[in-house]
Amino acid sequence: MDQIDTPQPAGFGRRPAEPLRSHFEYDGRLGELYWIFIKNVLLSFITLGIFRFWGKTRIRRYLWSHTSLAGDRFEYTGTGGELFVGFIIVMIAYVVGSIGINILAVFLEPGSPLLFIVQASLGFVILYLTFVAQYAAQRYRLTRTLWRGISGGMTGSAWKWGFKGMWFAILSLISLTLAWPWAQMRLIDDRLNNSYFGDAKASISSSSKPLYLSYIIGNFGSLILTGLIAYGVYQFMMTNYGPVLEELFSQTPAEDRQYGAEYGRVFAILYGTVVAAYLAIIVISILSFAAFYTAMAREIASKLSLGTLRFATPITPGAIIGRYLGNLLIIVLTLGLGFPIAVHRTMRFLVRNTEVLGEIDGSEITRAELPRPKFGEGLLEAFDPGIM
Amino acid sequence: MPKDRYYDGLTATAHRVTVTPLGGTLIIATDENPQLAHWQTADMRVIDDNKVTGAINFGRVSDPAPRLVLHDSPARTTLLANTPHLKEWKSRAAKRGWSVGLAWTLAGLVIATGFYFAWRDGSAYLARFVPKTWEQKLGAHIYAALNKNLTICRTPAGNTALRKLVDRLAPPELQRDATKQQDGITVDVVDIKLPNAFALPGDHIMVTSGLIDLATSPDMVSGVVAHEIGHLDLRHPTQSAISNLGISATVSIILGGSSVGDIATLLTVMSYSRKMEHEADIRGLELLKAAGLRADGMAEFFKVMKDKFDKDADSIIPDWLQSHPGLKDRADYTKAEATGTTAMTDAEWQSLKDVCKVK
Repeated sequence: MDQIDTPQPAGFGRRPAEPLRSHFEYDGRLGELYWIFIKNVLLSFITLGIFRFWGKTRIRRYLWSHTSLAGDRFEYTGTGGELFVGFIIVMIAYVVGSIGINILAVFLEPGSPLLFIVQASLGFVILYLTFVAQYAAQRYRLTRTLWRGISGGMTGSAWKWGFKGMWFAILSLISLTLAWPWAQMRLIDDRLNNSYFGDAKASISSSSKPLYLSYIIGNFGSLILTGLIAYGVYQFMMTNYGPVLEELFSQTPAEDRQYGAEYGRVFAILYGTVVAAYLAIIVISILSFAAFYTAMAREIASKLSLGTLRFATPITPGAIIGRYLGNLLIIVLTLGLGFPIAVHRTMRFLVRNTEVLGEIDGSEITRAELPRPKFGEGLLEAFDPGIM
Repeated sequence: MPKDRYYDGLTATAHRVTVTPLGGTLIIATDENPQLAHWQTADMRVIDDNKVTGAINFGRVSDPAPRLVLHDSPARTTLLANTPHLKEWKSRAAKRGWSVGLAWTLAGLVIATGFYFAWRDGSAYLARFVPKTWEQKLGAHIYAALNKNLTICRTPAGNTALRKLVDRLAPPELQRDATKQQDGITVDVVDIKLPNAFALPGDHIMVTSGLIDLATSPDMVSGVVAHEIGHLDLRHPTQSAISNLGISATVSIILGGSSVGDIATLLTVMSYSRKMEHEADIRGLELLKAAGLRADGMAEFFKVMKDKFDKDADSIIPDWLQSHPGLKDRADYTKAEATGTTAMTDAEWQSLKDVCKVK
């Protein structure tokens, strides 16, 4: 069989006992990514946002085709039309459901138990669908990824996994989020154990034990710091502008008000302080959970296998903080125009922190006829927590 | 060292290949196998090109999986030169992109226009099929909510006078009739200074005390009441509920929020379209004439309203953009002869005028 003509440099000079170590490579150029992004923004604007499905596809095509492993490039074979149709299907279901609920609300007595059940279960339905969406989106992306002429795939049912996800999320809430690392790893295991490249199945049996220390420290750390910030904001506003704020939010009749002239200024200061505090809280949660996400990535990488290949990651909390904090700053400071920079950095972060152990020989891996969804990611568009 | 690669789509093997174009066929060869694969150039397509490496990624039209990655070489140059559809793939792709985009845009416009008209005219059509009992249930909610939040004026003589007027105007299917299980129309005066009247789902009419104060004759009140009965007779409340239901669903999609329970609020502030107002005016006039009442009160009332509220006769908003037909227009097209009997006796009219003054 033909051998690949680009042995990975990292593989040289190591003891023979140590497995060959290869990296993914990303050679995209920021300028090209920016050009795609600018065209997408303009076309999305002209088409009232509908172009965004095609725009997303163009970005993915670029990223996939500029990422390679063992000298062979990835290819994204999804189309904008698939994303668009998926979105339309979800929207039709949403409209029908929303009209149905409105009709119920009109024809049932205001205190009726059925109406209460419907309204209360709505939150669960949305939670359920966010999980279904994650699974379905992973399947779509895997089936649309081609490497050496072989595509990925995924077995299992998104609807079933959604129930598990919802149940685990509720459990985590009941346990004051302490069950979350365990639940998260079980859910990730399920998704990975159903994932394929050709006929090679991914396999993992992870443990949540290595995650707990960092999770508990991060959780309490962020809680305490968030509380301190909220208290600080309250104290700052009340000491400096207490009387004005009290009057602003009171029922005082208009003729008795004294600080009317200052409302605008104080309100602007309040607004600015709250936005700053909100950003500070995001920063704190990135800092607090960096060690947790590091432990998680390491656990997954060390337990995952695909055929004869194993994985590793040199990831550190510093790298995670650099990626998320850097991207946050870029997006916020450029008002979203730095999006391609953030994407570019993320790609470099991913390839730098993913290592493949073992000799990459695909001759054993053959094409597998796994089910290939016709439409893509409509649910994720609608229920992605990131959007909401 | 050849860098060109061929993936057969069957196994994840990267074959190092050399290619030779021969007529309409591309021969793909490895060192071991000089006849690894034959591709018809007519069946080939370009997936993308890579500006970083200069390689072009080829696929086949007939099979989605196999790929051939060719770097710049004399063989590739010959292939491109002999196969125009591969050479011009970029402009072809752009052309296709524009035409597909244009087709989608047109389709979107057609669908949006279709929805607009289906909604506008479809709600009137659908309203005919909504059972009256549904409408009554909906009306009962709104009526109960209004009863709770507003002051309803009641005096025996005043209510009797208004009741009598409604009974004279209402068409048979809106009459109270125990044998046909018809509840008929309920009519109330609410203590609100702003002159107005509304027709609610479930055959409820409300007239404000401000309207009775403003009216200078009982015929003006009968004109307004006839207009509201016209709305009910034409099933406008149901029609408007159907379109508002659609609008609330649409709005909740755009804003991404759920609007459960908002419908009751929406319906209370429910407004009828210009078209419905016009239809109700015409129907109201017919009802007045059928009942043998003076029909000139409606136009008179519009004039009184115009004098009170519409002093700057030409408001800034053009008439065709306002939800109600302009008062001047309405006064013109509802103009009627002063024939027929007066709606109420002097005693009845006086008792109606006093209905909110007695506590």
